[in-house]
Amino acid sequence: VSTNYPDPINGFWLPHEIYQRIITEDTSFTNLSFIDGRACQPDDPGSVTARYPVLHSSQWNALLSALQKNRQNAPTGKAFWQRLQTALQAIGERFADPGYPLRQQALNSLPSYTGYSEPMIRMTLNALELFALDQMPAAFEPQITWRSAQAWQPISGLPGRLRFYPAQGWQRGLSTIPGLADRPLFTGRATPDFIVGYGAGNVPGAALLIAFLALATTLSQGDPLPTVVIKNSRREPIFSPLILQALEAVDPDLVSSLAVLIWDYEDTALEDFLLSRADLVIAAASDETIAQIQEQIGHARNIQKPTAKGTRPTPIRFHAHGHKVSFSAIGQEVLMHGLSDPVTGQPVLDIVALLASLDSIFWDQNGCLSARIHFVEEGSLNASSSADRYTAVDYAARLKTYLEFLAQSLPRGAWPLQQIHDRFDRYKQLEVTGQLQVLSSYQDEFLIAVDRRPLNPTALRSLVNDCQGRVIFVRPVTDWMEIPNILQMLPASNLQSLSIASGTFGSEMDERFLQFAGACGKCGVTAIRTVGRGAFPQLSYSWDGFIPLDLVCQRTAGHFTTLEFNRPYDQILETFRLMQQRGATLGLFSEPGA
Amino acid sequence: MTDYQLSDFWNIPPQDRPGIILQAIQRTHTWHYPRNRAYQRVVSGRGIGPTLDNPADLPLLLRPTAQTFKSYIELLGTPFAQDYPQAFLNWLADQLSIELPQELFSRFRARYPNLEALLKEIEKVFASFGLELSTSSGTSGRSTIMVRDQDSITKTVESFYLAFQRYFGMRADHRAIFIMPRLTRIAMARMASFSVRRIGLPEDRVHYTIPFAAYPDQVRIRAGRTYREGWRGLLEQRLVNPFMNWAYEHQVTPQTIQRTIQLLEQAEAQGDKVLLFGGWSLMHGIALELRSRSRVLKLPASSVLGTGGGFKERYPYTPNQIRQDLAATIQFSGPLANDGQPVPMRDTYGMAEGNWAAMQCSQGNYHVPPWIYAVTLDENDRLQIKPESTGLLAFFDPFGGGQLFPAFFKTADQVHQVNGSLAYDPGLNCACGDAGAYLTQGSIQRVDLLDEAGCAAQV
Repeated sequence: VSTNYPDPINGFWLPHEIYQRIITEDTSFTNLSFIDGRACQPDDPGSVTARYPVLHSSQWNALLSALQKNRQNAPTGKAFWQRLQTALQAIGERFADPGYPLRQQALNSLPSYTGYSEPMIRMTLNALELFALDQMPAAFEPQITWRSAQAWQPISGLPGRLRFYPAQGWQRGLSTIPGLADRPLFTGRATPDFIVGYGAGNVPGAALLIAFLALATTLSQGDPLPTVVIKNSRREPIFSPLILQALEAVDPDLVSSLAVLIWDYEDTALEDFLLSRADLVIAAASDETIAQIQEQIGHARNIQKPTAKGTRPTPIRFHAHGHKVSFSAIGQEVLMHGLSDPVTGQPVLDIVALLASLDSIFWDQNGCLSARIHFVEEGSLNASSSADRYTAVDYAARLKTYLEFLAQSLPRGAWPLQQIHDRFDRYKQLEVTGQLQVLSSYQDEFLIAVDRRPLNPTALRSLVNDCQGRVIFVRPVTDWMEIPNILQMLPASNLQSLSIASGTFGSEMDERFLQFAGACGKCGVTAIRTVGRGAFPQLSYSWDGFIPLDLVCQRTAGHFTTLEFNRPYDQILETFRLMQQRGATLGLFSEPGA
Repeated sequence: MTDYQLSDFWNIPPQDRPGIILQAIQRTHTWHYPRNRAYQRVVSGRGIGPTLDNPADLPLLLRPTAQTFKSYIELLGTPFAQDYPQAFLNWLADQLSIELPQELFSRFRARYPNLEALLKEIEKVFASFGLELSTSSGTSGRSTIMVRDQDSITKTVESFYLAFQRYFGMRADHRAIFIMPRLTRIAMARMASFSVRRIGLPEDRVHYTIPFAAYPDQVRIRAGRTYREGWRGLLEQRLVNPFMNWAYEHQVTPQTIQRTIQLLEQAEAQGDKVLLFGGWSLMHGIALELRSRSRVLKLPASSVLGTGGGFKERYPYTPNQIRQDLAATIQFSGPLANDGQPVPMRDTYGMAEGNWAAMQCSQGNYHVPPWIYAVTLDENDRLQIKPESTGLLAFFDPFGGGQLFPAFFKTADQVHQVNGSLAYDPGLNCACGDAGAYLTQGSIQRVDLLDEAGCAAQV
């Protein structure tokens, strides 16, 4: 075997001082080599190899003790969060500097290892500060009552609204009983001491996202930071360790109780060791892996030791984030002719199409937040007012323009074109029905089609499943309320976000919109945000039905849906202006105004 | 499309074949393009016009097998074409390079009780065209529906016949035992049985040992993967499917195995050379039954066992285990050197859309007939012009589709191919001595193009 290849990159992260103690010359490592997002031999030309240590049980014990000990010196509560934000700001600036060694390491390794294009990775590195964390402290403060099971409630300290959907429908009815509606929804604090995380997939940063959420639990009551052990993804083990390394260089206390490692799900002894100590498990993984972890948690519960007082330990809580699908919804208000942004002068249709296309193409639709079908409320085409509005085909044509543009500035990753070609052929044939129109060409590295065919659950699933690797269907609807009727044909557990474009300048959400959002939440949609924000989810809002308070409190089963804005139209313009302002730095726009 | 007969191609040096076939491909394209609406729609969507001027554009002529003669399902919104005869006829007319007279469409009823009834009616109404409709195995309940006219049937039979002769050593003095129903629309089964007749086997030496017909709806219901909607579906699922499976397990399979063994024993007694052809699991059933009887059949030299189609249902044994069990129970009789040697088991690779089959040679490789231009495609659908390559198999058969359609297809099977395309390396010829393209043993696998990379769901 040739050894003529670069040294492996660390696909794990330990605080420096613990690393020095635990990782010795005798430590054995497992290597993972990837090229173009696929496993390969380490000596294949262009391959990137990451490594992780295989720790034995005494090393695991030593690791947990050391992490536990480090908690004592770490900052807590809002002070911790303030320092984290400052550190993130600092590393954001460093990663934006082309000469920063960790940036170079990321750009040299991540595209080949994950398969995503270099500009896509570069944009992520240039936009680290867009992961807005400033709202997070407020997310731990609201007093949420059962009233939220009845109607949208404001979220104190945060823009937007929140609604709770109990798993048991009868509980919703119960909450209407006078006096009961004001009962708190969360029944007790359960601040975790030890959190185990699982990050999977090749979208960079799953482990990092879990780490931030886990560390944010200190915001609850200023409790010490939890000990956090996260299983890193084998398909993308590089990004999170690099960012943590950079954070440690700025403020080592922030990440001193955190370890990111790789181990086998099948290592039941290790899983028992970790899970039996866990108060909270957060997993972002496939549905199959989630089921496996769930089973292992069940096993670990049985071997949990009683507490020092002899009582049963607190049950292990499990936040599962399985495979999901997301959509866009474009309301007729933003399709009116003549609308433009008063600041940039750009037509609103173009702004919406650009932001919505960005939501769809980011991570080449491998991410759960990527919108697949864009529902367009074109109203009745026979109505006299329809002449004043753009149609779904007009919208799709603009979307195509921006998909072409983004194919240049954020090219598609190293995925086979076969999938796109097969789908092109398949849908091109259906043009004969007169109900489907493919707008892209065979040579395009994306597919966009307007589909007016009648839908049944099987056809919808097939359509949704075809939307990966930059495949978008524009689906006209006469009325906004048709959208939840369509979404309810899909399993509620697979629905995630809806990126919307709606409203008018300066206006808050109206009753019609809230009714629509409520119906979508009932179907299983857990986050509604404006277009253009899909690539950078805000941690303060619902992630798959869990809000930050869920990290530190217990409640009845069900899911939260959050609206992440007050004035949707205004927020869309703000997003566009920010992108335009930052476009050149992000590598998004080669020329101002796209 | 060329002056050559199919059999002539074996006499053309392998390096000269592509040139002849490529010209035939160009002519075939030019002929079908203005006549075949579905083909024209697909290839013109890719920027191809009535003539193929640039050989680099060849891959743009390939239609995915899964989206050509199966595309009626998406168009109709249902695999049950019998419910929408007119829409199905329109789809069919679109797929063919001949004009089906529209005035005959009115002869069709508004719906038919089953798919078989509709297909029969089409053959009857368009009898003057000599159309014959066949299907893929149909176990998914979503059948490929292929159309052939007499000319293309002759070509296909000729193609199978030549391959049977060459790779299975079939001659007119063989006895052919097909472990399949006499009445079936499954394309591969039909073509195989037609072809042995073309070899010259008299009717009384061709046997079908599955005692019942296998029409598309029966295959669909028994496979249990697609049912009708509503009460009919419920009936199919709750009543007919369990009954059929019970009957298949307790009646059909035992009868089939008994009948096959009887015929094999007759052949053994009479010293007849045998071609025994059937699916893997039934072939295995024969071996297991013989083993339970502690019986070893002795068949004369040149006998051969054949299979094809892979496994359509979950089966607890691998092909190697099945081969071993067959080798232990079906062997050659004398002469001395051969005595006790296992009768060889040869697999065939083909598909409903293909008018050909690649048959396994003595070395285990699958030989593509020399009049087929077989290539592999890389992940971006580009032709791989190399003496050896791995990728999706695509083939251009400028002869097989006759006047009905251009048989240029991209399959869903990943293969390792040697000496296909324009790049021929005599040093890589198969050890069996046959020069030309072959797919290496064990390299054929169905690929699922979807790969879960991130957190996006398949629902």
